[in-house]
Amino acid sequence: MSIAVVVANANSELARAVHDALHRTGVRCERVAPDQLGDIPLTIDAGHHDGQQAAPRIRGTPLGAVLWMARPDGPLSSGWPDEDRAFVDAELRSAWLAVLDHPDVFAVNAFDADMWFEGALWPACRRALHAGGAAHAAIGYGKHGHGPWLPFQARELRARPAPAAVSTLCVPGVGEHSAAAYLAVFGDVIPVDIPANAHVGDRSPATGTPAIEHSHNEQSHNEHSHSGEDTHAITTVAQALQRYGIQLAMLFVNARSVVQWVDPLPAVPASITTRAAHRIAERIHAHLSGR
Amino acid sequence: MHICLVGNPDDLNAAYLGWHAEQRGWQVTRLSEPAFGESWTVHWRDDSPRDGVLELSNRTLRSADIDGAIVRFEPSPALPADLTLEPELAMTLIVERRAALQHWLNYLPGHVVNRPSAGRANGSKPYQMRRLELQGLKIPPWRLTNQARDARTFALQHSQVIAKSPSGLRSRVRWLSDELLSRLEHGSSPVLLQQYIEGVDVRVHVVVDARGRHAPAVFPTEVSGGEGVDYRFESDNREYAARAIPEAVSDACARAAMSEGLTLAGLDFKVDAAGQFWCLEMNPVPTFLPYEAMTGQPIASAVLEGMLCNYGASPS
Repeated sequence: MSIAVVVANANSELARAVHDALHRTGVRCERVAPDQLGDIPLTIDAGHHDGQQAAPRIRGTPLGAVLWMARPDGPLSSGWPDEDRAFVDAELRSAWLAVLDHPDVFAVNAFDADMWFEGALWPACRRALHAGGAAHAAIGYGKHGHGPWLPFQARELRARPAPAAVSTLCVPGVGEHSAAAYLAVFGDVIPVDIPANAHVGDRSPATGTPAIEHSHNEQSHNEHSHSGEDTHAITTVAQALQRYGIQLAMLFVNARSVVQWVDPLPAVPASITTRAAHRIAERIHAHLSGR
Repeated sequence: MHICLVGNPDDLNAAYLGWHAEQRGWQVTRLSEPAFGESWTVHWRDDSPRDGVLELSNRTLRSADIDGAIVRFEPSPALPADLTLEPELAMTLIVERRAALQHWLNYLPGHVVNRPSAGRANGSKPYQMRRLELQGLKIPPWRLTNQARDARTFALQHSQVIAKSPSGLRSRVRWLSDELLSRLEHGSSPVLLQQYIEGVDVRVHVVVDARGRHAPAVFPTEVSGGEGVDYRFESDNREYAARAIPEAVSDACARAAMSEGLTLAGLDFKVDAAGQFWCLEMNPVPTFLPYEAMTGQPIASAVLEGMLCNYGASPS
């Protein structure tokens, strides 16, 4: 059987849970920190080799699945000399996109080049929503930009900066604070509470995305409920993203349950880590065992 | 007609297109990236991009009245004039500003050459080659590896092997050498090995209408006089000549450009002694100027005709 690779920082609980779940089902799985990818022996061949489909190989073993939980534009080559790292990062980024795109590889997420080279930022996800016909709230600029600022790089809501900065940076405004969040996993959605003192604004060291830690001791951000009707609408969005290769993402919605923005490299709350990991491991196992 | 040159209006290809447009009597507005927020800005929402406005220092234009844009970004754009920032803040501004401009250009109504989201496959040669193959183009056998043993195996299977950077970074193509194998033995980033095709170099520029309402314009140019494996770097005596190419290749080039959302692309080929066209890559920001200047092929006119054809179009 081919092996699976989980690319995530050491502190990713979801990565650990998926890795462990795969081990329990007999799947050989390797965890790799993103900045260690430069040390992994890797070979990819053109689509066919001697009439046979040739899977990518790491350490000489066919690779069948990848769970990718790192920013594509993040550092991938920590062990290399500083003066070489920008070059090596670019080469590794190129190689691993080809791995994720390989027809033999089951990839979560199966980023396309647009998403990948945009650093998996939210505008690319919004284009996926647009292409999939999924409703989403508008984001505005200049005189049409209101409410919290959604920076491209940080992917977190922040207070609107001073007018001069708004103008020079071309600050995108989302209109209102997020009222709820959902984790999309293979077209289904799992509700996630946004606590009043959520760490939205802190960057997760694993992915550079906002860390949302659920705590039963904290009050919810507001009274937004995850009603059945809301969940149905959000599921439609999750399915649109899945058709675009985004099987795992956090969806942030406004008070009317309209998606404001999407994070395809989510920091998954502890309360749903096991549930999400089980679904991901199940799909990877099914792919590797030919089901 | 009113078009904008966005990013670096002084880029030679952009400036040439702007000059051509002005010769036709079109209005051309130059939007320099470093001047964003100073001499121009935009006000828009991404659910109704046609209702947005472009605000210049002396007037305001509705987005719906902009018929097209030529986009050429600088790799390292400057900060706004008279603004000094700490390096980290400066980088933040540059990255955020670029992302915002890209968001705007990806939604701007009209004909954009090229939208920033288009043609990104060029950043990964192995990824792009698989896609070009799906469009019917023939690709020389390749292997990407950071393993000397796998590199040697590939070399044994093919008579002549070249080594390239797998990424979109502009780098020189070289022969697979003992020196490279030694580097791989001692630990190297991945390299892309490819069977070398003996033959002539052909660049095909293709101008397509993203909406399929206009037949593609295809401009093949044979480049001779190149020495070695990479004519871009190894000869000062290149000669360019327009030439014919098979219809199947021409059609595949147009399909490849359209599949990546490109309205202008440059595809590089090697043509072997049997007349087989082997595609090496597709460039989403092609420098077409020397090919037009040396052969007289009207590439710039075709780009502008494409804008006329897409008059009033919205992003698909």
